[in-house]
Amino acid sequence: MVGAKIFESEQELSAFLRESEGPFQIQVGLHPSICSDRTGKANLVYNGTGIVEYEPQDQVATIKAGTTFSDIQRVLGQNKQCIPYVVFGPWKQTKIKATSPEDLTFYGVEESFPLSLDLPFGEAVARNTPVAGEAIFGNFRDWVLGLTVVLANGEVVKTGSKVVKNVAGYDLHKLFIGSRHTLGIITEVTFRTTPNELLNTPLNIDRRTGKSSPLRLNKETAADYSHHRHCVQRTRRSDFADAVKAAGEWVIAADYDSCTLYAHVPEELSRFPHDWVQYGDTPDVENPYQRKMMLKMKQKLDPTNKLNPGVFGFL
Amino acid sequence: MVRFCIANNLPYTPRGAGTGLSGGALAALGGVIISTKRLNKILEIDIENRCLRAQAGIANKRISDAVAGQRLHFAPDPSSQSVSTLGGNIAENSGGPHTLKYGVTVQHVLGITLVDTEGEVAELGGPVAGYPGYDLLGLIVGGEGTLGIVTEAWVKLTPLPEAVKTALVSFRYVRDATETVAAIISSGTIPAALEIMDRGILAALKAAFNLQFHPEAEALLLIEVDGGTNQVVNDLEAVERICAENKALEVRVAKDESERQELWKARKKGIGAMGRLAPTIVTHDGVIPRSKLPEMLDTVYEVAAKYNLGVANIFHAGDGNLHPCFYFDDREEGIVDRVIAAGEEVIKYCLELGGSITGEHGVGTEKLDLMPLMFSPENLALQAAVKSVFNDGSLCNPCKVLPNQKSCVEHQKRWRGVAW
Repeated sequence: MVGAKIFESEQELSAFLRESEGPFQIQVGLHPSICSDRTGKANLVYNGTGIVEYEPQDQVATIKAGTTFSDIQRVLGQNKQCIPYVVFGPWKQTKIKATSPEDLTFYGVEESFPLSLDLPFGEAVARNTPVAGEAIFGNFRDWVLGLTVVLANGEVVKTGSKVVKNVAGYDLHKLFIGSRHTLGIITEVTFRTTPNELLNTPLNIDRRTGKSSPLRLNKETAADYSHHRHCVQRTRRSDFADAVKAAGEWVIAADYDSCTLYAHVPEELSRFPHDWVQYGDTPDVENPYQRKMMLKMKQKLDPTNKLNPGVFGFL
Repeated sequence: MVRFCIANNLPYTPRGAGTGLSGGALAALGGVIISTKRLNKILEIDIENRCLRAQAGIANKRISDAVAGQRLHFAPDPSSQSVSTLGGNIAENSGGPHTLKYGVTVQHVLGITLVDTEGEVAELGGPVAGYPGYDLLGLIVGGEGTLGIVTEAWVKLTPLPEAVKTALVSFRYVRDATETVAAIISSGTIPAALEIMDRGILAALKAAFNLQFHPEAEALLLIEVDGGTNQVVNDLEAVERICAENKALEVRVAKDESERQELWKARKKGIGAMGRLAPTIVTHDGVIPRSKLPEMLDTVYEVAAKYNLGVANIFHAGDGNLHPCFYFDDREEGIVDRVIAAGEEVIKYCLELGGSITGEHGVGTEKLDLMPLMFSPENLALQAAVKSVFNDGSLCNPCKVLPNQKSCVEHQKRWRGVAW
């Protein structure tokens, strides 16, 4: 990250983008683990941090996008609320019954897996990595109510709202969730919080315990596993047991509620009808209509391909 | 059909059952109305994977009915669900009384087939939830039929809860009911539904159906909790305790399904019953942070008094989604203008409290003028840019969602003349 431009305010970032041509490799937040495949490549970082607004009674909070999950959970925890975000770490239970956000941590997986408490929330929203426990607790699309985004031309735009139900206009914030800052840089996130009491729901997630985790084995044998990639696969319920079996020893965790598999693989995974797979840092978009519309959207919002070119491969 | 319209430069407007409340089904510039009503088949039911593929014109409730035997349902339940179509629900991102726990339509749509604005058939998503890349499905659901015409969809089927408990709680003041809602939500219990009806609705229900409530009741709160058998018992106890702490006059708990339906009657028949109060009603739709409900309701009553209008409130309190209903006789000269002015004042106050101009009815043609109050010029420009990616012309469903579209402004008075 040597030589990267680091911005802590939207205004500075906006002024810079108005005058600069790019291209920029962008990330939000400074934690080195957040771009496992691309660490060191970022040359533009937004690192605004802190809680902007928090209304415990309304269960809605707004934070600067560089704030990490652990910092957010700490503040929400004072009001017995949280983001029901399941992260990876070592623990031996296979059925999780959680009463506080700390209980939602799986230990024993290296920190660079893109679901970690050190991840800045804005970066997690931009990546939209499928979260474990999604079938019970929802995902970024369910939690995020609104975003502030700095567009490629430097304009600062607020999208969505601060209320839990809203159908006014197009849901622009949904477009930016999972867009990896290719359409704009997420600088502020408004989201709904969850009472800790609701965490008291068993999750049907199996995972490799600390010592047998493929990632732990990699470290201990010190073999060259650099060609392994993190991957997430989601299938139909009817195919999921076969998918877990096919991924074999490389499985990190399997969420039987949302039929999502987390693995660290040396090669391509077996595929199943209607499934989708996301390898490492480059999400593979397979649907031709989606690819066509993503290209059109990118050309419309970032015509000079200034923001994170190449992140989706074809964009 | 879409290609025919393009070739002949004809505007076209998709339409489901036409039950929308914001003018979304109106052919704002004339032209062709493309109805999905005959696309009414269920194409595939996949119980094991808890999903179903149906055509867009199927009535919402028929989906749930088709899988009720397997103890599954399609969770979005707008009040119009016996007639409103899946396609219409997708266009409007419909909610309903159970939104509080189960979410709105977008959370239950896994994939769609659509005819895009060039007349090509395309698919997004499928029976497996979520996919990497831009969330285009999340944009089209709630796009009010301006980003293409949805013809089929894969929807998620949700297990019916093991147990359900419903309570109808009477309060002397509507403020006590709204404060109870705030207390329940902040306690961490999320009921399946939290619905408030005020004295105007009570009067209508008594007049229309002879429903009887506690004699001193000025507000009713309908609470439904669902889930596992033990959890429901615990949740109901917690809720009853909170009601008692907030000055509830009476708590009626349904003992069985028929009593539950009886309690729901107060909510479901409320709007219809208003026909007993006046020949015309206009239902508004605004959202506020739920802790501001008491303050907001006071304002609704003040605004109604200022414009000398009758008002009754029946709404999704748990979501902070208000439905003030002005009732009046539209034959009275000048009254329609007063109703419009009062409605706009209420919606503006929702915005002042940090809310939204619509929670579930959509912008349609009704709320075009209010969009600039909620969104900055930069945001509206971005919305227009995003729309143009899907719909770059002026033929597909013109004059909806975004204000100041070419050739729409001059027609606005005509819609108002027709609608109001």
